[in-house]
Amino acid sequence: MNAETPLLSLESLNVRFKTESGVVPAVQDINLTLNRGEVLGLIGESGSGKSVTLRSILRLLPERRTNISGRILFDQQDVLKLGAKALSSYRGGDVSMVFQEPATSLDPVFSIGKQISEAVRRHTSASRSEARARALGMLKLVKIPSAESRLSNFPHEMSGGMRQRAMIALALSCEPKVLLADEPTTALDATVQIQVILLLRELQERMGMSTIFVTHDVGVAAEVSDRIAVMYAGRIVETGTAKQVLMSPRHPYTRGLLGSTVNGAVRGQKINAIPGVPPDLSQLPAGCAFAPRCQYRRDECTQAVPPLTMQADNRQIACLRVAEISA
Amino acid sequence: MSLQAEGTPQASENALEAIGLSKSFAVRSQGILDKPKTVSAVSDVSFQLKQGQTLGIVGESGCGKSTTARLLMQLIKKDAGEIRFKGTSVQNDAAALKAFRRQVQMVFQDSSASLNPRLTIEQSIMFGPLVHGQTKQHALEKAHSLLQRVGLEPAQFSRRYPHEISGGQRQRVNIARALALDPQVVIFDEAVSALDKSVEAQVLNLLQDLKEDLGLSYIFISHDLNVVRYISDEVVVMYLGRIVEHGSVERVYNHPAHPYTQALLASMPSIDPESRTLQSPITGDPPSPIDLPPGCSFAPRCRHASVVCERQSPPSTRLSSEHVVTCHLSNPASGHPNAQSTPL
Amino acid sequence: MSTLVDNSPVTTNIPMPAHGYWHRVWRKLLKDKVAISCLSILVIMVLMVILAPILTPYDPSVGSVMTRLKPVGTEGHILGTDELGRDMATRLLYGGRLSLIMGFLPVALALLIGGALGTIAGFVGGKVNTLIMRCTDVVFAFPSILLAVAIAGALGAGLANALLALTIVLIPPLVRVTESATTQVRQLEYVEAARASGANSLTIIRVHILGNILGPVLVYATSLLSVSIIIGAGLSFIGLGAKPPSAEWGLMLNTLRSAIYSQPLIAALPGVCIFAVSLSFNLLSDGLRSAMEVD
Repeated sequence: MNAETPLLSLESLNVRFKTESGVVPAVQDINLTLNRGEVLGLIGESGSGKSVTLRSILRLLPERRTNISGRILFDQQDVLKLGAKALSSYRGGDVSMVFQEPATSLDPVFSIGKQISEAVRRHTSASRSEARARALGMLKLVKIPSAESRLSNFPHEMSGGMRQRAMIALALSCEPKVLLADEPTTALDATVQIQVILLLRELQERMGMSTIFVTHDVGVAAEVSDRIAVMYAGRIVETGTAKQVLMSPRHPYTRGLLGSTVNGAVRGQKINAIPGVPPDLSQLPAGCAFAPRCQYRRDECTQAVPPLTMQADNRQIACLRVAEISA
Repeated sequence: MSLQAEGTPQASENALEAIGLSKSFAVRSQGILDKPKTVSAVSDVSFQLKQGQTLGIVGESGCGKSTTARLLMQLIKKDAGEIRFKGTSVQNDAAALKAFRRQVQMVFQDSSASLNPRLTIEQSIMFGPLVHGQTKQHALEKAHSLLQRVGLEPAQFSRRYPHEISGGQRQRVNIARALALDPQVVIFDEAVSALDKSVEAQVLNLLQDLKEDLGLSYIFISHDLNVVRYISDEVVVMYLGRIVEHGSVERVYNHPAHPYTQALLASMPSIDPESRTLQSPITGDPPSPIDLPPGCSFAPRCRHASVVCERQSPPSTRLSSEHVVTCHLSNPASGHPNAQSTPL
Repeated sequence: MSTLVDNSPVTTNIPMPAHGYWHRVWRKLLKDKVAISCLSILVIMVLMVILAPILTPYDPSVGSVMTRLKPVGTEGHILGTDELGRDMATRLLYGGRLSLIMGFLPVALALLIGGALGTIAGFVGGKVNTLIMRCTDVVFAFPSILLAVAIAGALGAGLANALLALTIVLIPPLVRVTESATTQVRQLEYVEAARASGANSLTIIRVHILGNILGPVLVYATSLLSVSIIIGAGLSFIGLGAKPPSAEWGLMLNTLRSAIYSQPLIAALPGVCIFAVSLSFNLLSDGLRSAMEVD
């Protein structure tokens, strides 16, 4: 296999939800690639479509109400066309996910050890004792103290940070090639958050996993990502290396977002907030979805959705006026 | 220990003052024969909110900041301590309480349950004034003018229901509701934590405007250190129900003296991808406040802990006129081997 | 002065004034065919029993031995006659009055009493809650039918006593449902905010609690209507409810027992009525519950 071929590739991905009031486009025209051993940060606010994108990779969206088109290629195979058996081995085995709220993502009636062992036995031919040994090894790997006694703990008996580590252990138990992380640190305290971030980074480097890390926190994205993609109203508006996007953003939304964070604000002075609110996905304006809030908008911006175009420095921006907006 | 000595002329400038607040809860024990355990949610908390200023309270889960807010609002009964509004102690009787409510109001964290889903926006805002005897007409006008003030067009929003508006708009409504009684002090309990960052920026700007225009004093409770740094004049750091450090934002953020404050500040993710955090400043989770051991409650996780820390509760040491810390390290008389009187 | 005015395109498209909760529930209910059919059947039934004197020329208690047990479809008697020669259709209509009252009245009274007790228990909490709920548990421990029979038996036969017995039996479940709903709502942030505004308990209950617990309580009460009708008919069947010669469906089932071999259809008619009404109430209750999942 060519080392240059991306491990995961989303091509023209469209996800539409059928609701009572009609069809809502949650995600439109997504083209993303994830290379081996790379961490891709996906930044966006609520309604940007980042969680929907992530869930579509594992096909976790409700089938009846969802309309997905496009291709999701994992190792050259289209995930959207996988049969039930192949899908079952793909989920957890090849691609695994860590969720935001471990209290609701871990099964409350089974112990941690049991949940991890069960996952291992599902994807490998391990015996019960082998699976248990592996579960113990995973708990040690995520640095849970007194791992031996924790195997029989139930989720409610553990603190928030411990639960999140347990969920990471569960997700990594079958050595997936891709880890999807959906805001895994958002619900954690600051001192716990930094520990989990460092843990994820260390595990990712050690196991050589590719990771897609969804977050709304720019600081967290800076700590973990090699590359970053910014989403707004269901589309990708900017991609590039972490340094490019965070230090020299070029899309007006990214610039507005980074310029309006409290980090850089000076006490006593107003923050440069982006005016207006994110659009309602069921009533998107024609043309660029960010135009109503954009200080650079022109007439042509409201006529057609600007395509994501490749720039000279190997990054992509979806803005008609990107050339005039200096980095 | 308060930042100012009592009885000074400045004492009457304090909009709100907490003296020695304490609150414990009984926790149901595991077995029938076990003794009931107590959670010391808030222990001997004292601070002052100066007129026209913003006091920030930071800490992680279990530190007691939300309980402190509710004690200040008199939503739960304190076990010990005193609350003073404008220099006068607040009594416990119903009339005093009702009068207090007009002066001190609270904005909660936005959630789907912060507004009654059966009431329209204007009805929610009018509730407070109507309870205090205003006429319906007056309350209605007040509600509309407040909506305008917080940036929501009354013609568009007043008759809507909470589920029809976004999180940021709901939070503006919460702010309008808190202002409906013309309070002098507003307490914000994680008021911007659930908002998107771009909306958070708008709401923070709004809060600044309102404070200046209406001459308010704020208490701002948050786990987000950046927000507290931006909006506060003074800050209080809490850990397991106690204040470990407080002072001006400038002093505490730039010269933190308490090891916990230092760890907390160092835990903030770096926004520069080229200079990432390499080591976690602290290990383990914030412990549970049940059955605290004697001595300093931070000692189990503190890298500077020594024998005296496990035996004795540290006293408060005044480092400067704007900076007080509760730690043996900063108290030269404590017997700690590394004690020094200037912050590390 | 802040010039921040929210002019996002979202809000301009929703028509004003926005609809309240119950309006939306009603609109959703209208789309539920099953629920609307049941509601229509019930409304028609209620109208028919109210208008009984207009709809039928017969007297429900007057019969002729000559016209005993005439089958369904006899000229002049659409649904036949009973064992004393009285017109069945008339008896069913007038009987419906008593049967429906045995359904509605106990539930309404139990809702008032049980609802008040449950709201107080849920809102105040502590010892008051324990007192009310444990008393409720004691009454609840008896199987409802046996309890109704015991109370009606002790008080003596008669419609009023049967209604009292039914009310007592229906109070505990309503206390439970109301207490549970109130406890949940009481912890929500907007109730805390109301307390922070200085409102007293009664105002908070009136403005914030009642409107929000009404939904689940109403659904439960609607399902209790069918229980009440059935137990009421049962009481009359064993002679503890309505007394002859009054018409009441349960009582009619008893008196027509002897006709079960000669005119089975007629003997079954009161049962069919009971079944139709209680099924309609149940299905309506289900439909109401789904309609309430609006936001």
